[in-house]
Amino acid sequence: MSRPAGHGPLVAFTSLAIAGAGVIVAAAYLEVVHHHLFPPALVAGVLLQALGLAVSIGHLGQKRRAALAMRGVGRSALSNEVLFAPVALACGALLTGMTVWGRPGTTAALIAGVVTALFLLSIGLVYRVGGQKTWQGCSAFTPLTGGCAFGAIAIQSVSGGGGVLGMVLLLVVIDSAVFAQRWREVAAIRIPAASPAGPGISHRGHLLGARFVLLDVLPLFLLLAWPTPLAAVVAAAGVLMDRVGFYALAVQHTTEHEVAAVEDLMTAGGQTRQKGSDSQPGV
Amino acid sequence: MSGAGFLLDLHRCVGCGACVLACRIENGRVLATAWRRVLPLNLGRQPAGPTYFLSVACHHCEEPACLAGCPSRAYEKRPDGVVVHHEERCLGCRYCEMTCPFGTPRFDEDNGVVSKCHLCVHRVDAGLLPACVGACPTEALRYVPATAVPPADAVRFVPGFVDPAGCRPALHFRTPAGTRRVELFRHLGEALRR
Repeated sequence: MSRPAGHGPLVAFTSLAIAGAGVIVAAAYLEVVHHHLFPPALVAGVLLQALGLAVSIGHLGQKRRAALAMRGVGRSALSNEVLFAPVALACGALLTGMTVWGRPGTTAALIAGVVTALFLLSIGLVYRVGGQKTWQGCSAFTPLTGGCAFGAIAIQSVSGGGGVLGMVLLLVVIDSAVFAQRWREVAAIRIPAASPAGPGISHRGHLLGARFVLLDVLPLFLLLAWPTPLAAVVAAAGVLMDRVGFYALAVQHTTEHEVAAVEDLMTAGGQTRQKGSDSQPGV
Repeated sequence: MSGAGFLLDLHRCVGCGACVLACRIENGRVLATAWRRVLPLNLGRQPAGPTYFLSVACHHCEEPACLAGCPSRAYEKRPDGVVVHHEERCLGCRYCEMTCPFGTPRFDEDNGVVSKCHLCVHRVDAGLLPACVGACPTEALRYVPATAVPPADAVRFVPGFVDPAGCRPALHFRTPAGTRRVELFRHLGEALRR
């Protein structure tokens, strides 16, 4: 993409929103399936989401027109995300309030969990655009699966055993499976020398591997071997790595890059022909 | 053609940049956010090699990705097919930069909004040609009204210009003439198909 400097607020917004929403979904799952609530997790999730929402305004060129983003609801994936963000935050805040005041309900948890999961899915769908090679396929689902995995790890690691390890295992396995598929998709993409990709694409294995280790492998290992809040910190670094890697791997198609790719192809072809004629002078 | 657009004759275009300058003067654009640009395509990257020029701006696509993705409905497709951008509705979110597969929308850091070619609708509506077309000294760049049909020998895609997102751009080309360029053009097409 043409604006590496512009990705900072997007990385911050999506990292905070995914982490916060993931905690809410995992907490709601705990309540619905195991009838066990962990109020500090809900408070933290709502705060992270609110912070992410505030940061998201930062990347707009015209911040005072932010409300206009609702005009495209139903047609624009970005508008859908903008709609889900405050609705999910409100549902999470309501569930938190009910929990703190001693009136939690499974129905409220279910609604908050589903709406927040839809918000996570909407984040992924924003980036499924035709000209971006590396933002196709499973990349639309990694905010949902990664956020939920982080939420489960965070609750398990800071609750001192108050969480449910089975939930952690389930959500981490799901995220690992989805992310492994994304890794395969990105690895299979052929990038010409004159590609529109940033420097990240040449380190795609490292970026994707770091995310996988930080968000899935290492926290799970820590929780199984030595339960500690450090697992939550490592997983948070994994969420951040996920977003940094996501934007670093952007490969946007433009006419400029298409021209450069064609020139590259012809130059390579010409060199091949030259080598061929050098080695076989009679041909 | 189902909407207004451009026809670019690759044989006639000499890459003089008059279209870029005319567009900038007409619409008050600085170079960094110029709506039209001329991309030389030098086959084989050799100084003496055949070159052709792609003069491109907004292609006023039949299925514009910018319009579909815009959260604030800042883009509008007129009945004649021209895609116009209303800066007063733009959030400056730059999502259209991501969705457009041609790199057309340009973000203006000073104003905090995106802008792009509007096919000089103020001129076209007054019966004039778009500034870029009017300034082209070789008549390589032509305006094709919505009611007109492109020439029979016009093609939609050439090496260096493809449509990866199915937007169906309203830009047509006439391919280069001359033995060497035609031959290379054919080789290039075959290589790209492989």
